Amino acid sequence: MIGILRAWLLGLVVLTAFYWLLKIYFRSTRRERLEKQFEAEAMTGDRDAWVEAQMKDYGRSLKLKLVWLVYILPMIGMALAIYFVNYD
Amino acid sequence: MWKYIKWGFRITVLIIVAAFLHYTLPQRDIVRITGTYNRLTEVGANSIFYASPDSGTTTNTVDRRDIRFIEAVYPDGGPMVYRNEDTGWIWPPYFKYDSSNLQAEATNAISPKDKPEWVAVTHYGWRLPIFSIYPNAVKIKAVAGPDVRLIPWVNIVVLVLLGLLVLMLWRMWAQFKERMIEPAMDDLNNTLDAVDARADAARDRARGFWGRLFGRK
Repeated sequence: MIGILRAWLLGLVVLTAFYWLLKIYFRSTRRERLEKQFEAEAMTGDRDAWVEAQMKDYGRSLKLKLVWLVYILPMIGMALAIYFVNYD
Repeated sequence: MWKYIKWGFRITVLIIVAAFLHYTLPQRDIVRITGTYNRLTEVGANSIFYASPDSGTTTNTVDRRDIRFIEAVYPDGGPMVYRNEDTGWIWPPYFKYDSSNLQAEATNAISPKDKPEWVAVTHYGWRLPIFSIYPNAVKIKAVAGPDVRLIPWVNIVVLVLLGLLVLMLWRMWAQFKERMIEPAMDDLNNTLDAVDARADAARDRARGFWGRLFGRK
């Protein structure tokens, strides 16, 4: 029984690390795209301030919310494995 | 020389990863089951190829336990022996806890040579007689005959997902390098250049002073 707890804890740590890496990665690619857009459209003014303003709502976007799948998909996989190995 | 070391290292890592996946991912054999039994088994130096003690069939701390085995023969007559143990909760991630049921199914599927019933045994692991290790049977399914073609869907899905994961980690690393490390290196180089330029200027000034005193022009 203690094995299950250990597995959950380990999974939680690994998945949380991956969750944050993914989040940082998506933010970074978006920031890069915004910076390029700023240059391409030859906008005037403070580039960094403009990028920050565009980034502000990104945390609430669908794409960043989908990062939660990092937790959900392995759990579905585990449930499927348990079902097919023991019950099917 | 350095090239050989580098490639040797890469090939070694690749072989280890491939062997690890080959051991862990499920495979299916089509066999005829000839017997089932359990045997008191000493698990010693080869213990990583057995279930961890707390998920095995005993709670005894001395690693000698009753393990269920399934004997089978391939269509070509070659023998195969599977063990049948629970897997525990971490690795390998099969979450198998129905070993007793599986043993009952296996016993039920025993068939004689002249009236064979072919079954597909899903298992992971290797049969290496020299180390006394056995693949762990996970599932038994009746099949129509010894020539049935089985498509390894689980392996396909798992390998594709693993590939995507590696690709993702690779792209993350590339992004990190582009956005964090290279700008930092640029800053460092600029700073070093500035220091260098100041040093050059200082040297020129010094040379100017000493040159005025001792220089031969």
